[in-house]
Amino acid sequence: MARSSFRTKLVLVAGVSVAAGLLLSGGAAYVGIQRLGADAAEETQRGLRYASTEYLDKHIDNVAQHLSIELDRAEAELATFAAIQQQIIDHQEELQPVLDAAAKAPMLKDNLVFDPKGQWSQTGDAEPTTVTAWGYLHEPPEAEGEARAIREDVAQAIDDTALMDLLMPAIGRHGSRKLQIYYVGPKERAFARFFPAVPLAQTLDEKDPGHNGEVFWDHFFPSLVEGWTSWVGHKERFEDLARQITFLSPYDDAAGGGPIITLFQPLWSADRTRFAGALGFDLTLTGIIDYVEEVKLFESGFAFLAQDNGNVFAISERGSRTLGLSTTSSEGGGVSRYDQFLGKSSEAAIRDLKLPEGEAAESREIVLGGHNYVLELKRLAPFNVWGGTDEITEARWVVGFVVPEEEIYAALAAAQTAVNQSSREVLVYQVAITLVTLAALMLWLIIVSRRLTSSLVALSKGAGEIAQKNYDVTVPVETEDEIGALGQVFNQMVGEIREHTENLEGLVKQRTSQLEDANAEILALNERLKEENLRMGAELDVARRLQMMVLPATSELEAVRELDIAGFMRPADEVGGDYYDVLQGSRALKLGIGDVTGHGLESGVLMLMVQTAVRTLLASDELDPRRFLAIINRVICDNIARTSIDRTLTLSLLDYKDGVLTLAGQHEEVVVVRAGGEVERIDTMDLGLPIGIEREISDFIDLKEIRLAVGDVVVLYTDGITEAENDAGEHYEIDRLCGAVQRARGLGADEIRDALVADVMAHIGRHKILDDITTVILKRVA
Amino acid sequence: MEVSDSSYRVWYDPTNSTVYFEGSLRLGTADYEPITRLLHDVLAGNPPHLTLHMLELVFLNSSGINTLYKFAIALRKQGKTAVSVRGAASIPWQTKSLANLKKFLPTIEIDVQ
Repeated sequence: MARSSFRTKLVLVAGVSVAAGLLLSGGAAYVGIQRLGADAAEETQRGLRYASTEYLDKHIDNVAQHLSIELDRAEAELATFAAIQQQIIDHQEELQPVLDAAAKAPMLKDNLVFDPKGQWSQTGDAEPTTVTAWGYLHEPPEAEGEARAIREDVAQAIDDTALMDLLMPAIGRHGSRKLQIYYVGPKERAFARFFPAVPLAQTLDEKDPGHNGEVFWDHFFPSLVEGWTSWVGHKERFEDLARQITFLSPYDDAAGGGPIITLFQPLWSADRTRFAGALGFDLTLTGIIDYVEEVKLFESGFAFLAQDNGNVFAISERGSRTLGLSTTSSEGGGVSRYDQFLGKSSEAAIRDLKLPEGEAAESREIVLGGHNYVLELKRLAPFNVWGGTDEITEARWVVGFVVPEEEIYAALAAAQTAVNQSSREVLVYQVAITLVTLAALMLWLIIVSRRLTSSLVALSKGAGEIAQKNYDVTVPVETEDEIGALGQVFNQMVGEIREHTENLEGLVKQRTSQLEDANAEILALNERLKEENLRMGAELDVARRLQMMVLPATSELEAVRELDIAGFMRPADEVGGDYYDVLQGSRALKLGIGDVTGHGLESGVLMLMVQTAVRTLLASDELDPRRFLAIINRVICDNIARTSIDRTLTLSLLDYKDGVLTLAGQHEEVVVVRAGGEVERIDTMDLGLPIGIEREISDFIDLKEIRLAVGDVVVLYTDGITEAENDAGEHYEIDRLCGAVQRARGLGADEIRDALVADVMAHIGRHKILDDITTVILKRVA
Repeated sequence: MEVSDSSYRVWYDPTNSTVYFEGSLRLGTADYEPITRLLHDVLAGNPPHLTLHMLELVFLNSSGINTLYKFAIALRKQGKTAVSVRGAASIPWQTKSLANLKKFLPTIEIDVQ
């Protein structure tokens, strides 16, 4: 159980980690390729759009240029022809002999024959050009049924154009593809000369009966001459006569010549005031239309050519269908016009199309039949056009390109397909690699885990044996890795446990004896420490005992009759050398209070010296308080010098006799609390000097007498009381002492003392006691 | 020349011949020795005048007072240096003890503000 679950976990954990890693890296690669593909597609699309726009722009410019060149060539030829003719008109008088001679030359002579049926005159087929003079250019018939003569002025005018027999064939045969070139005279002499020679009058009679009675211009091109004549007087219109070339709308030639367009250039009288006829070209549009229809754009793109009124006159069948155009052919003047208007398209996008107004090519995106198209438009150079009224306007043709967008972006679509294809492949590879790797790893993991777990199972079994207190187990160590090391350690530990279990008793004994040794050592050390401590404490013990042992006994104090006396001394940890004494002398009661500087044994010894000296002097009956103190000082000074004790002391000695307290020596103030509560503080600064500094102090010693009434209380104390500190470092101070005693003054000396000590202790609180605390309370009771 | 601790500072300023005492002195008797030596070193230079500036010495224990007394006696024996003490009446130990200095050294000038 344990074996299989551990191995399963191991295989599961490793397998899941590897699978997760592989899937993550595969996923990242797939996403990367997808993103790369998207980026590339965007970049390609931008590039293609730019390139295709650029291509269409350039191409449409080329087409426009080509068309312009075709038209320019025809215009140039017409202009040349017109210029020659205008020269002849301008210099007619001078050239008249030449013209007359030409008209008579057999090669150029026009033999017009009157046709009685059609009532017109026309040259025969053999002449280089056909001259036609319609009925209204003839004299009235002299007799019914007779031939009519051409009007004299008309005949002269025909003769004046005889040279055209030379010019027209030359111009007509070369250069642009002209179906017909012709000259038509001014309205009053509107005969026509045509090249190549055609039976014009017959054709027109057939196609347009009745025209013979009306002036050519008014019948075929009503108002056109009026349009031209309206230019008279406008100087700029006459600077370059070639710019007067006027185009008509394209139409199908009535004589079956296919789609044509007519260009006219008017001629003028020498003074440019009168219309002098016009030269015309019927230019075949087949070349231009074929060229436009053959323009190939991508797969199925096409071109078209339109007038700026939206009439499309050059477009392939398929193009026409794509743009939704329909032909509304209309008959007029013997010619059928193209009427394929963009505005009448079945496609909304084409109906609403606005032709460009600038010079540059314009690109649009439109939808035709549910498909996206790119529409490129470009205007050709402007030219004059007559639209059937007396106004001649300026017009421009428009070349258009229409290309399905999907063809432009065909490369992009191909690239995207390729990217999708390769990312699919990557995904498939990734999945395959993941599966194969996973399978291989699992196999390997199962093999390895079997090996690993067999060692662990052996260890686990061994541990189970130990739990059963069988310490004779060993586990086989087969590998040199950590598990092998674990096996070794296990075996070693089992050995130790075995050894320990067997030798437990001996071990306990050994340990116990070790502990006993250690204990003995500790006890010895402890003893030594105690000794050290004792030695260190001994000095202070001695000092404390010295100080306390010389204090007056309670019985001595109680023996005093007139005064109730209570004393208190509490030495500090480091003894401070305080002194007080009460001694009954032969004449008076002697009281002393003093404080040795410093702490410790030396202070205690000095205090003892003082006590002994006072007692000795009292015993020797020295009665003068001044001398008494001076002698004490000398003794102490000498002893300090001998013992090299660096201490001094303050000392006040008091004599009491019959209600008078005589005070000598410098110490703290003496506080007197009268029975009535008044407090008197007696300064002792002027009563002496510190003892043990100067050998001779007699001059500085003074006395002070204090009279005591019954109930008056005197307090003697050392600075251990007034300078007692609390935790805040504040001193107890004399004022508080006075207050405490004042409150307790009615009590006995013992109780006053206890009250004062309690108050001091309350002040000190938990703070360390820094100095000896000493006080003596006297109360006169009798 | 300076003797100092966390709670006190005693130093001599030769420019105005003044020994300054600052802080609170609660040393054991023997521990006043460095201060005694400082005072005697100052005295060894036989300055014509010496000021003991104690306006900032808020506490001096009896051992310290003893040290001052002994210095006063040493000054009296030397007899050359004029000494003045500047103290503050608001500091309790000074009102009590500075008067004694006059007894040990009558020429001392005591200026308690």
